[in-house]
Amino acid sequence: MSSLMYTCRAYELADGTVVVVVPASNSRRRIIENLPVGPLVAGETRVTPDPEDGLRMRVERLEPEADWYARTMARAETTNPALAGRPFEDLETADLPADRTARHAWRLRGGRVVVDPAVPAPARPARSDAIAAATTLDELKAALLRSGR
Amino acid sequence: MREVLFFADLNAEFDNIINNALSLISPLTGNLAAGGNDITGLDELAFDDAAAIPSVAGRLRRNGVTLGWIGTSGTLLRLASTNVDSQAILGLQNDAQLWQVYTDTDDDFVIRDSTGATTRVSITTAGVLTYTGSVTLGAGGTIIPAAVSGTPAQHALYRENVVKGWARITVAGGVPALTDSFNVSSITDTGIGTVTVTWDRDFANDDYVCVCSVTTPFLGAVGGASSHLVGSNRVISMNPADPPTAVDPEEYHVIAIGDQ
Repeated sequence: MSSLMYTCRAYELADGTVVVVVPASNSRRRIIENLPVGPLVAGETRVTPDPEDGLRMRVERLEPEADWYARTMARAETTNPALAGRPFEDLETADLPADRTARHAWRLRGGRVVVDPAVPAPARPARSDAIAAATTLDELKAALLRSGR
Repeated sequence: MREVLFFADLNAEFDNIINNALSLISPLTGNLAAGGNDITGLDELAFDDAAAIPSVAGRLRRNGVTLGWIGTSGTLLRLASTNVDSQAILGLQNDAQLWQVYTDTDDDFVIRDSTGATTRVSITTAGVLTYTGSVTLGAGGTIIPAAVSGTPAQHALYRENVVKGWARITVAGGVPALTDSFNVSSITDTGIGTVTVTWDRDFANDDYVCVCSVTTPFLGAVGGASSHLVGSNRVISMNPADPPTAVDPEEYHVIAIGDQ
């Protein structure tokens, strides 16, 4: 279970739309250190004797979660310049709208991602040439059947 | 007047020179101390057959056909002329565990543990190491294959044919979830039917191949050149209707192969 209070970052792009970055949990790095013998520290995942120096122990632990999250977001912004410098909110994925049918209308409002009913639905794609060119009912039916409508 | 020097006088004058000389002739009845100097010009060093391994760390001793040396912590190194396969062996012993390394009559390298179990590595062709067991790497261990040169060898592993990144992304409302992955830093939900996968380690250039498939009845695709970047790639799910439209699938499956 995450100790962070957020699991994703919602960015508001220049056109007002929202994109959400979800970090890959298995991209947390493992840090291996040779430490003096001593009590274990919470979060260390494995301890084995150092074969080269019995007075020390090899400690393997995960990168601190906050460091991993910050690094992951920085990388997302580097690879996608549209995110750099844009307003964002760190959120729990469970706090995002559960229904994606209005995904186009997701907007960042008051520190949350909400569905803005004022956002118009995206324009329907242009119909295919076959439908537009149909001049008889049979031709239109055939074109519609082929198009899956 | 001439002075007569007896043995006692010579010994007193030259640090027991006569006794030492006599001892070197044979038999040597005491310890021979080199005093921190080297013994040079030695042709052979003959050991008597001692009854056991060396008694003290840092000493060599012969026991039968085995030459043993004790290092620190009771570790014993053995060099022997014969073993079960009548081959020269190197034995490594720590406590009660004796490991033997030797070559057998097939010119395999054999590692034999204290129970007699053996592991064989053979060199059947120059430069080809053959091992029939499994290889397990510890934490942080990796195998980095070489780049292919010319026609690929049969069944060979090259850096060009290793999958460099993959992701399974599920969509069940809300934001797509990264169910499992390799070399993925994050995914970005950019809208219905589109997800950008950001790689943890960049590709060397944008000549790599990215393949996306999605669950039926939809079709998976990758974005155009503007979204095919060394550090990320956009994958798309399309409804195969006419005209096609982006649509959320239940799952995206993404694989990328190329130079890093």
